[in-house]
Amino acid sequence: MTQTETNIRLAVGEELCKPVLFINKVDRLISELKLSPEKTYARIDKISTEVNELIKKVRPKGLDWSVDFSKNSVAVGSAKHGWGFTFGILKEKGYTPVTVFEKYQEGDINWLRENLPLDEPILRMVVDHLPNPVTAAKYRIPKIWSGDLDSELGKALQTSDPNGPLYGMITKLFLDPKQGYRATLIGRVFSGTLHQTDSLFLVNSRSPNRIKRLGVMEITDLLDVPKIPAGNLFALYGFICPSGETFVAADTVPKSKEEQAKIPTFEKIRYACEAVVSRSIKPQDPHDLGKLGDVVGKWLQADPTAQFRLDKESKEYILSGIDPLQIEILVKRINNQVKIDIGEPIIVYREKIDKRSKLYHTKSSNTHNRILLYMEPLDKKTEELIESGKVTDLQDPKERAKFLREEAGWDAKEARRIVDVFKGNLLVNGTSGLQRFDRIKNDLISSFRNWLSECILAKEPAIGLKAVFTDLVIHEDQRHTQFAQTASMAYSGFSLAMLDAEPHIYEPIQRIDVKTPQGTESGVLSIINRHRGQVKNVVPEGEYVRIQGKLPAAELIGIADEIRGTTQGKAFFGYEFSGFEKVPKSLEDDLILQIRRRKGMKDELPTPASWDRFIYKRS
Amino acid sequence: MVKVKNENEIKTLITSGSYKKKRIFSIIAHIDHGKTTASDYLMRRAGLMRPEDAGQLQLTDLDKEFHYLL
Repeated sequence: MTQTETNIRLAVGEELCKPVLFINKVDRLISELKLSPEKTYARIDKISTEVNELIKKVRPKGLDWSVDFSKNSVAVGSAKHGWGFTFGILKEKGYTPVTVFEKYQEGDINWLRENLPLDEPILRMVVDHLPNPVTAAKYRIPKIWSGDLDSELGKALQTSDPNGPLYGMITKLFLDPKQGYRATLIGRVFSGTLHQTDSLFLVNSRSPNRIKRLGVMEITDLLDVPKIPAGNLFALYGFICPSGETFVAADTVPKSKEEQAKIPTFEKIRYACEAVVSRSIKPQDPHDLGKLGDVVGKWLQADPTAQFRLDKESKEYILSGIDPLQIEILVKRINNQVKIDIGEPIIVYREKIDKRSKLYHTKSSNTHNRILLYMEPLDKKTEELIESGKVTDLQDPKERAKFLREEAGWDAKEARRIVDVFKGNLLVNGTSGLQRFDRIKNDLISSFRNWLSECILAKEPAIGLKAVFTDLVIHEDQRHTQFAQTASMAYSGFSLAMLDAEPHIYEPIQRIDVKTPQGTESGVLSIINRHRGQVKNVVPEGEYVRIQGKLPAAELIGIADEIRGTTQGKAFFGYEFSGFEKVPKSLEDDLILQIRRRKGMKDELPTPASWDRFIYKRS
Repeated sequence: MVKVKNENEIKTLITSGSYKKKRIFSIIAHIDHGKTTASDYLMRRAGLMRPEDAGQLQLTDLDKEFHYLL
C-alpha cells in the first residue's frame, strides 16, 4: 500500500479532500482466485479497515472521514468489466451480494455491465458523501492558502464568493497530441468570476496573459463558456505556465514589484526531492534542436518534477527526475514529436560527509583575502526540513531561525547567522562581526552553490552538509575582491574540509511494495536479492504474498521487467523514493571511478596537496 | 444530473450560483488500477461517449502508446 498511503496522505492530509473508496478488480477475486462470497466480502472489509487506518492518521481533527460499505461510502466492482455497486444500489435494485457471483458463473458479464453500471456507484458516492465547493472552501482554504484569512480576499475564498476578487489556480497542463500538442490549461476559480475577456496576472511568474478561449473540457475538446464563477473548474488556452501557478485579474495588480511580491499564493506544490536519475537526449537531426527545446519545455511545464538542462562539458541535453520509470515515459513522449537519440539512464548520486572536519585556513589566489572554516554533517531533522522545503533560502532569516530552534533544537544565535540554504546544505557565518562582508556575500554564496553542485569525489552534488566560516578577512580595496578571488579561497577551503570530513558516495533508494500470487514469491525474492534489494516484510495476504523492502534506484528499471517475467504479469508493483543511502564499501571505489571516467575526470581522487598553494600560513 | 450531452445544460450548471449540485472530485490510484477505464464510464454517463465504447476507448488517456504493466 505504499502508493495508497502516499495518495491518502497527500489528498486527505495535505489537500483536505474528503475521501470515498472504490475497490477495483473484484472480478479477479471471483473468477481468477475463485473466492467464495464470504471470503470476498471479508477481503473487502479488511481493505476498508486498512484504508480507514490510513485516513485516520492524516484527516483533519474532529471530522469523521472514515469510509464504510454499509453506509455506501465504499463501492466495489470491476472497471475492466464495467460494473460496480454500493450496498444501497444493490438493495434498491433487489439484487443480493451473491448476484455478481452467479453472473460470473454463468459468464454473463454483459448483464453486470448493463444492470450495475460502474458510473452509478461512483457518482452516487460523490454526490451523497462529498462536499460541494462552498462547504469545502470553509475548511480547505485555511490549510492550502498562505494569505490573511480576515482580508477581503480571504473571506471571499472561504465562501467561494463569485462576486469576490478574482483568484484561482492553474492545476494542470494538458498537451493535446491531436492539436499539435497545444497547451490547454486546466484550473479552478476559488474567488470571483473568470471572464473570457479577462487578462490574468500570474503571481509566481509575475506576468500578465491574455485568454484566447475559455470553457470546460469535454474529454479532449473545449466547450466555450464565457464566464466561470468561483467553485468551478475551467479549461483555457492562449498562454502556457507551470501547473501550480496562482492567478489574479491583471487590472487589479499593483505596479510596484515589491507590492506584487506580497500577493499571497496557494501553498506551493512541493516536490520531494532533487533529481535521482537522468538521461541524455539529442535530436537525430541537428536542425531540430530548437524544436526539441520547445517540446521539452512544454512537457516540463506539464510535469514540473522533471528538469532539463544543457550539460556544458558534454554538450548534451540532460533530462532528469525523481522516478526512473517516469523519465522513461517522458523520453518516449518527446520522441513522438521530435526524433531523438536517447542515452542510457544515469543515476545521480550524492556526496555526503561522516564527521566534523578540522579547521582550514585558505587564501585567495591573489593572497589578499582569506577564510577560516570547517564542515560538519547536518543533523537528520534539519536535513529533512530543508528537503521538504520548510527551510529555504527565501525565508525571512528571523522566522527561519525561530523555526529551526523550535523544530530542530538549533541555538537561536547560530540559526540567525545562516547565510545560505541550498539543496540540503547550509552555509553559516560563525564570525562575530565582519567588515565588508556585504561586498563579497553574494560571491561567497555563488561559490558555495557551484562547489556543492559538483563536489569533490565525482562531481556529484553534495547534501546534508553544513559549512561554517569562523573568520573572514576581506581586502579593503575592491579591485582585490573580485569573484575569482572569493571563489578560489572558498573552493579550496570547502574542498580541504570535505576531504577531511570523510566523504562518501550515497545512492538513491526506492521503497518497494510487491504483491504477487502465492507460489511465485520465491522467484520475486531472489530477483530482489540479486538486485541488491533488502526485504523487510513477507506477509501472506489471502492468495497473494506481499513483499516490502527497498532497492537501489539504479536497479528499478531492470527489476520491473524481471518480475513481470517470473510472475506472468500477475504481480502488482509499487515503488516510491525513500532517500539516499551510503553505497556499500565493496562497491564504492569502483563506482567513483566509473562516474569519474564517464565525466572525463582523471582516475585519481584529489588529495589535500591538490589545494596546497591556497593554504594560508601565518608568516 | 446531466445525462445526455446538452451544451446549454452544462453551461447553465456552471454559471449558476447554485452549489448544491456541484462537486469537484478527482480519482487517485496506482498506475494501471482502473482510473482511466472508470473515467470512460463517467464520460458515457455524461453523454460524451457511445455506450459500447466505454471501458475500451480510454479517452482520457494520453499515453495509450506506453504503459507500465506488470
